[in-house]
Amino acid sequence: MSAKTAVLPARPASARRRARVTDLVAPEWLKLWPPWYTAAASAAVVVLSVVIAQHDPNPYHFDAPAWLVPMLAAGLLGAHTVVTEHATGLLRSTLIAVPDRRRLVAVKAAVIVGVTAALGLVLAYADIGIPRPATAGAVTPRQIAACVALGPVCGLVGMAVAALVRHLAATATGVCAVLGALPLFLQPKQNRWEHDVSNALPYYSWSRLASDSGTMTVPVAWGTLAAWAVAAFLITFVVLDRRDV
Amino acid sequence: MNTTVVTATTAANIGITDRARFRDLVAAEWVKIRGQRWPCFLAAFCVLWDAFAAWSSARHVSFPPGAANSFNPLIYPFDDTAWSLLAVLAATFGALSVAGEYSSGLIRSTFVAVPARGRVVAAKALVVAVCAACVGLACSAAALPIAGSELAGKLTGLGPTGPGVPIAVVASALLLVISSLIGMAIGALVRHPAGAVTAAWSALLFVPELLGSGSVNLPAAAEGMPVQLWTAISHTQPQSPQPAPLAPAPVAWLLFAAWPMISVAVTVWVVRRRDV
Repeated sequence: MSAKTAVLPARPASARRRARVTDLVAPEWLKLWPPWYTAAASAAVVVLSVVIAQHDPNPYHFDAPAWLVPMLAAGLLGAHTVVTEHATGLLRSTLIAVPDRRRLVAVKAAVIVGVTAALGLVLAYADIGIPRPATAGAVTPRQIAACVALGPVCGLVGMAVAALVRHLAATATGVCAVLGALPLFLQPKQNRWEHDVSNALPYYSWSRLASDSGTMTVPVAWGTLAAWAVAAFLITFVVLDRRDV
Repeated sequence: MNTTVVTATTAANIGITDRARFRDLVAAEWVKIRGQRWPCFLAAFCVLWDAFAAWSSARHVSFPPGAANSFNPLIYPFDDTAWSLLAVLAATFGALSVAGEYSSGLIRSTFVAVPARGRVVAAKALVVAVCAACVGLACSAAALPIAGSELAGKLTGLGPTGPGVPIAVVASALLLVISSLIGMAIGALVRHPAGAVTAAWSALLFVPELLGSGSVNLPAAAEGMPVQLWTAISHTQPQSPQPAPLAPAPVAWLLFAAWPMISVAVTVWVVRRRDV
């Protein structure tokens, strides 16, 4: 009998012990993009935003209300990658395959950052392509950079909301409330605290950078956007690492 | 086995001899809502939010001497921003009451128990509408005295018999009813909880905002949105450089009646036609 016992071949010297980053990115990408609705929803968001921007009577590029739709879309996309794993139970299989939760969160965030940044870039150039009166002025690199940064910020915020809430409907409510309703309810033209609080929202920081509206300085606006992204990433990182699934 | 007994039992079981009364359906739908925790939290949040908003909007009001008469006191307890959030939350409630059943699979058991889908939807719409109306009345009951006490000595007319107060209270309760029924229609169309919630927030908050802010230049469509109709019916809006377009009151009442009827019709039609 012992002669028939199968012996596993020795691990070749070149075999990797640790998964490469691409091995982790590939499944996250497969979970996010191939389902038909991701690409369809992204295309619908692009078309809808461009149509809204075309009908915008304000004579400048990157008018903030027209960008509410892509902000929400990026946030929901980020929330989707986390909350559907909780809702379907896929997260348990994912964590058995990749027990290093921190690397998993980092890779998930990287995929979302890439997709939403691409969305922001496409929308920025679509907005530039819309004819505006000459008073709109030339588009500066800072404006385009702000549009590209806006998507990842919203996507990471969506991931953080989903990691905290974990429930489908409540997550959607949370993302709509934080990214959509707060900037509509708090506006930087009322009293002092409302002015300060609303300036701390990504919507107004971004619109300071992209369309020169508002009272912030440029470094403060960039800092606010960066703070949202970092805080959201850390929340997802810590919550998913610490809480049981 | 006695065939007659079996036949009679079967007939009773499938409801031939004793047709389910509408009251039973309403009771079942009420249990489904009452049996969950989140509707209670949502209702409590709505009342607290509206009380806070009334206090906050009436807190720092001051008028130049003699100018108080030109202000409508109803803009403080019935603040547009505060009530548009209430409308969205009512729509979320309506959407989840339908989409939640589809996502949990409870809808299959419901339709096995009661194959008459139209009656189920009617009973659910009744329960949802009554809940929303009660929350709306509670919000008004909280907001009016709070705003009245904050404005004491500056403005009058926020008592229960003040000019326009009864109509504003009724219209506010109806606003939440209409929003929750729109939410039900969205829930029946979308069926997925996250999708339904997003669609409800878009339909009742983001689309009217885009229409009203001038970012999409369609004033006629902005006039027809539920919160704008409510503003037109219940009170005039505060003075602002960019006033939202408002429909005349008779048209507003007509559209106010049309929204819930169309919503319920859509819900019934979709639920009856589509497979579960």
